[in-house]
Parts: sequence; C-alpha cells; structure tokens
Amino acid sequence: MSATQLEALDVEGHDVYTCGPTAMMETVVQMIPQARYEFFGPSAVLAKA
Amino acid sequence: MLDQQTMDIVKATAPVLKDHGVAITSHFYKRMFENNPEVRHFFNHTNQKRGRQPEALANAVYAAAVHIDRLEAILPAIQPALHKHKSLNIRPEHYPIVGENLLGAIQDVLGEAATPDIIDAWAKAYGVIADVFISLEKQMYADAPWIGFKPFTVAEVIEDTPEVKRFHIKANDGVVGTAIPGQYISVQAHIAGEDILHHRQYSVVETTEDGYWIAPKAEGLVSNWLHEQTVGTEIPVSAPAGEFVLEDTDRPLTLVAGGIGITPLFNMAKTALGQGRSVTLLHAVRSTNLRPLSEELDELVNVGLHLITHVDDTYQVA
Ligand SMILES: Cc1cc2nc3c(=O)[nH]c(=O)nc-3n(C[C@H](O)[C@H](O)[C@H](O)COP(=O)(O)OP(=O)(O)OC[C@H]3O[C@@H](n4cnc5c(N)ncnc54)[C@H](O)[C@@H]3O)c2cc1C
Ligand code: HEM
Repeated sequence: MSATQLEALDVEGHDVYTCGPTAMMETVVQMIPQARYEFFGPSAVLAKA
Repeated sequence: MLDQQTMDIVKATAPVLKDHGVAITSHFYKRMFENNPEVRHFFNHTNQKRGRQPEALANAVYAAAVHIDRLEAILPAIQPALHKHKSLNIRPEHYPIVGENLLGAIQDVLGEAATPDIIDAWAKAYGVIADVFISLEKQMYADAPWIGFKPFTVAEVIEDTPEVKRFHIKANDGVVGTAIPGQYISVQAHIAGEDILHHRQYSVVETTEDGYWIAPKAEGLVSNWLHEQTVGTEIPVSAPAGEFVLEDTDRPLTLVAGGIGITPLFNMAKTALGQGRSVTLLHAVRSTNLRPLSEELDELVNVGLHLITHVDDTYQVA
C-alpha cells in the first residue's frame, strides 16, 4: 500500500478503519490520523501523525 | 479508595517499574505459568515464543498506577483488554493469580529496592485496578448472549483461496448474538498431542441466523488445525467481542485492508452498504488468486461498493 494511493483517497468527513499488517496500518494512521485499527497479532499502539 | 500515602508511593515508583518493564514482564509470565499452570491456556504462546508476548498486561498495570488517583482516565485505553478478557472468559478468580505473580516478579527483579512499603502500596493499587476490570467485565458478561465457550458445529466449509478457508459454524443450541461488524469470536482448539487448550480470535465475516462465518488463513498451530476440520466437527466458541466496531453513523466509510485483514472490514462494508452508506474499500493483496472473499467482494461491488484492489507481490505479511 503506497502513500500515494492513500493520498488519492478523499477521507474528509469519513469514518476510516484499517486492518492488515502492522507496517501497512502504520502508513494508514500516519496519513489518516482518525483511522481506527485492529491487530491480528499482539496488539500495540501505533504512532499517529 | 486508596490513602494518599499509598498513591504517592505508587506514583513515585511507577517509572522505576516501567524501566525494568521487560525484565519484570518476562519474569512475571515465567513465574505465573510455573506457579499457576491453570492459566497457561488463556495465553497465546506463539506470541511468547516469537518474543512478541504483549507486555500489554504489565504495561496497563503501570499506566493505571500512574493514573491511580483518577482511574477513569484509563477507561478508553483498557477497552481492548476488557473485550479480550471477555472473549477468553477471564473471571474474577483469575485476578489474584496475576496480582500475586506480578508482585512476586516486581519483588524478585527489584530485590532490596522493593521495600515492604512499596510492595504493600502496589498490592493495594493492583487490588483497586483489578476491581475496576472485574466490575466492568461483570457488566459485559451480564450483557453477553452467552458466557465463556459453548459448542458450535461446523456446518459448511468453503475453500476461499489456496490459503484461506471459510467456515460456517452454527451454535448447537441455535442461539447466537449478532456480532457488531468488526467484532471477533474466540475458538477453543483441542489439538491432539497438545497439553493445553489453545485459543485464537477470528473476526466475524458475517452473522447468520444461528451461527457465524469466519475465515482463517492457514498460518500456524490453530489455523492449520481448523483447516483440517470438516462438516460436523464440534468447536467451542465464545460470544462476539471487540471494540473495533462499525459506528452507527451515516458518514461515508473508507476501509483499508491488507490480505486477510479484510475479514472484519468485509462485515462493516456489507452492513454499511445495507444502510445506504457510501463505502470505499482499498484492499492490498499479494496476487489476485490470493484475494480472500473475492466473490463476496464482487457481489458488494454490484450493490455499490467502491472497491480498489491493489496487487503488490512485495507486500509483507508480517
Ligand atoms: C481480533 C483478532 C481477529 C482476528 N481475525 C482473524 C481472521 O479473521 N482470520 C485469520 O486468519 N486470522 C485472524 N486473527 C489471527 C488469529 O487469531 C491467529 O493469530 C492466526 O490464525 C494464527 O494462529 P495460529 O495458531 O494458526 O498460528 P501460530 O501457531 O500462533 O503462529 C502464528 C505465526 O507465527 C509463526 N510461528 C509459530 N511459532 C513460531 C516460533 N517459535 N518462532 C517464530 N515464528 C513462529 C507461524 O509460522 C505463524 O506464521 C485474528 C486475531 C485477532 C487478535
Ligand atoms: C488488572 C489486571 C489486568 C490488566 C491491567 C490486564 C491488561 C491486559 C491488556 C492491556 C491486554 C491486551 C489487550 C489487547 O489489546 O489485546 C490483556 C490481554 C490479555 N489478558 Fe489481561 N489484564 C489483567 C488481568 C488479566 C488476568 C487476571 C488474566 C487471566 C489470567 C489476563 C489474561 C489476559 C490474556 C490471556 C490476554 C490476551 C493475551 C494473549 O492473547 O496472549 N489478564 N490484558
């Protein structure tokens, strides 16, 4: 998942949810701080932008 | 309520405990599994073997200790733990086990630095924190469609991709609660040759009249065992849990999934589309033939899902 693809999404006013590999979710929450995320592995807290 | 002196000691020593966090946590688990083997089966031992055992439990105790004079501040942060505990049927009687072993581990690791006053203050603080967990979990158990694990039977198995199978599991008594989209259930695996039961969580892809669809990807111990199960097998399952849930709003929804991470988001997408919400789903997969829930996703496209599938063979699973 590239940052460009996420940038192309218009998420203003959207509810955003993400679930997948940690690195992917990290990119998502960096770019979309309102995104909520779920870990399938041991849970952790992701740093937001 | 704790007395001021106890709170002062706890707050003053919390950073010291946190500095020794890894040592205390590893010692804590080792000690607890030796002293109280009856709680071993609750924990995911792969996370431990891979050195990724969540220090979450001990860290949450420290975090709570820092906020010991206003525990309401930690309520949002402990929601995942409460749900995980409910899903695993953690009960009030288990709390003293964690408490004793955590205090024992603190004492062992800090040695003489852990004076009787300090240990006493921490014991009291743990008691207060545990009471918060126990009372919140009591309410969750009271609201649950059933408590702990009850028998389900595999009613249908579908080969979804070369890596993923979908299982329709139905409650033997026919009673299920609707999983809020995003929630998971825990399965209890009785695996031949294993000395303990193993528990794993699987997101509910869809709730049916008397069961759930789940989609485990073959990865390790429990998922491979699940993949060997056929129609008619009985599997104990706990009630839906989890706070990663579709909120009841009319805002547009954007979902970003990687591989098997589609499972909770599929349920959200289908439900939200049914409510007339606008839904965009960006799904990253390693190759199109490995895209889980492929047909179901295409069906959602027919009812308005804006689906962007991103194929990336460099995509890392871990
Ligand atoms: C809320 C939630 C929802 C979930 N939903 C789903 C879902 O819908 N679908 C799904 O497929 N999964 C889901 N999971 C993940 C699932 O719970 C399991 O973690 C997953 O199936 C792997 O469990 P396992 O027993 O098969 O593998 P494990 O045996 O636990 O192994 C996991 C991984 O670790 C590796 N491993 C094992 N032992 C070692 C070792 N000693 N050293 C190094 N590596 C090792 C394995 O090869 C494997 O890749 C979810 C998890 C959570 C927390
Ligand atoms: C006040 C005491 C406790 C605190 C603060 C606490 C905190 C936590 C936290 C933060 C998590 C991680 C949740 C997540 O994000 O997934 C967790 C998970 C868990 N807790 Fe607790 N917990 C406590 C007591 C207990 C007790 C008494 C037990 C049972 C013996 C227990 C068993 C577990 C298990 C099995 C998990 C899942 C870990 C895994 O999958 O291996 N906890 N807990």
